[in-house]
Amino acid sequence: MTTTVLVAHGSLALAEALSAVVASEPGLEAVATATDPAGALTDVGRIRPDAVLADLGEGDWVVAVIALTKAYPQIRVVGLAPAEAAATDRLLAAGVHLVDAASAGMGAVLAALHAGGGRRADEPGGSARAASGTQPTRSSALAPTDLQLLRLVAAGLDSESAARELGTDAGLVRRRLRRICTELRVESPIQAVAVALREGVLDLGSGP
Amino acid sequence: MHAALSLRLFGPVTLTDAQGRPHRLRGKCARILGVLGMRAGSAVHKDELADAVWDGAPPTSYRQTLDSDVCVLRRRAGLGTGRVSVLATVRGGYELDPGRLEVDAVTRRDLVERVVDATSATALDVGHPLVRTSGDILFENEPFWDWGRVVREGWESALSDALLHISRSALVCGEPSLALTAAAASLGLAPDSESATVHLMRAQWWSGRHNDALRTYVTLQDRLVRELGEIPQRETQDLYLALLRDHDRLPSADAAEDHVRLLLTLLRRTLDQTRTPQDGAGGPDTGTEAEPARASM
Repeated sequence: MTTTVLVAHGSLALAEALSAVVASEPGLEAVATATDPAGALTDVGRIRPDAVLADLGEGDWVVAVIALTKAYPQIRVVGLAPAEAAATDRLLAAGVHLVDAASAGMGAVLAALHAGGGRRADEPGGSARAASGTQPTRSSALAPTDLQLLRLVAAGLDSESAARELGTDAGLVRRRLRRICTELRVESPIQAVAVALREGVLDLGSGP
Repeated sequence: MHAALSLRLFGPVTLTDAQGRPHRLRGKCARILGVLGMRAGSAVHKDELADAVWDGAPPTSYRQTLDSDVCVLRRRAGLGTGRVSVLATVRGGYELDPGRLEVDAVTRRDLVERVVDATSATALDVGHPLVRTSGDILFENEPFWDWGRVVREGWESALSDALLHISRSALVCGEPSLALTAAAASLGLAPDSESATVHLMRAQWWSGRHNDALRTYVTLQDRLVRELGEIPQRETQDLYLALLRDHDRLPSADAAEDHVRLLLTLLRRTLDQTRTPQDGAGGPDTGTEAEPARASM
């Protein structure tokens, strides 16, 4: 029984160092490292480790870690305190195992990772490595007018304002947004924006 | 000649006469002009005027008091007398003529109305002065005036909405820095507004200030949980997740220095502990041999 661990830390050097500590521990296997909150979320989704050892030094990570516990309740999440007092409550409520490493030591961190149990080494996903996988682009089907509309959505315009901007009717705008969401297989327009941004077909920096 | 006549209700109430001389007003006179100014172009009955000026508790002789104050105001600023005055006597009350006296609050209110239903390019054109002057406070020198406070709050709520619209328009028109300024001003006027907070996140996102946007979200979430026991709306969460996934804009992670230092300490301690059994030199706290090595790290 080996517990696979993904180590998430904002600094690559420290993520690797923590990985090395985890790897040196019998019964634990460091399968991947992630250095940004968004990357951690995608990597966990792809690799499905048994446990995640996460940095909680900054607010961005706190929210990512909470999102992670919601998305993958079966994964054991061990967080390195210190976190701000307000964040601590939320993290505990989300089921994160907080370890105050400064006082309890690294041994306590490793023990918390062990406590989750593990899966057999022959199960799939056990030794996958983090790699920047290329996803099939869904947004290539979008027309320029669709992208123009998504840009307005990203700017915060509702369908009425977007319709006024495009010189059309709010009902038509809503219909087009529903079609875009269906094509991109997402639930909301802002999620469509996220997909278009990620796949590089939408750019927020430039002018209209 | 009358072009120079103007009434400022933002900041200290100031009436500038036809010769360009400013008369700064306080107390009753400031309040009378405040009420008439906010309703320039329509008649205000003396009963109503007194109610507003004295917050519902006018003195018994309020009619005479109002008459004499108006008389003083007209004389000081050369506004003329009776029915042809810029501050005209009308049936039972008074009326300011906005055609001959420019009132800043009226001008700004018109701008807000024009912005709200405009397309982005127009909203941006029209809205610039609103962004620039968003820090001005209506009836600033009358903090204990209830009527003034209510009017101020109504104005600030309308201005906050207008600034949001201007900020969205600035994003659409490719002016993220103006969008950022307008969003921050909007949130400043309505600190509890989730929509203003969310929009500030958007403006920060478009400006490439990814970390600021994430921080804005965390602050909002903390406040909602702490004060209302609520979590952000679905739309807000979606925006946040979109932000998180916007890979390319994520700056290289630079963890706080203190945090890095703590982790380094931890790692050293761990290495000490794992080394200890082989070295046979006792625990890290008792082993004197380990001291120089740790001090040098």
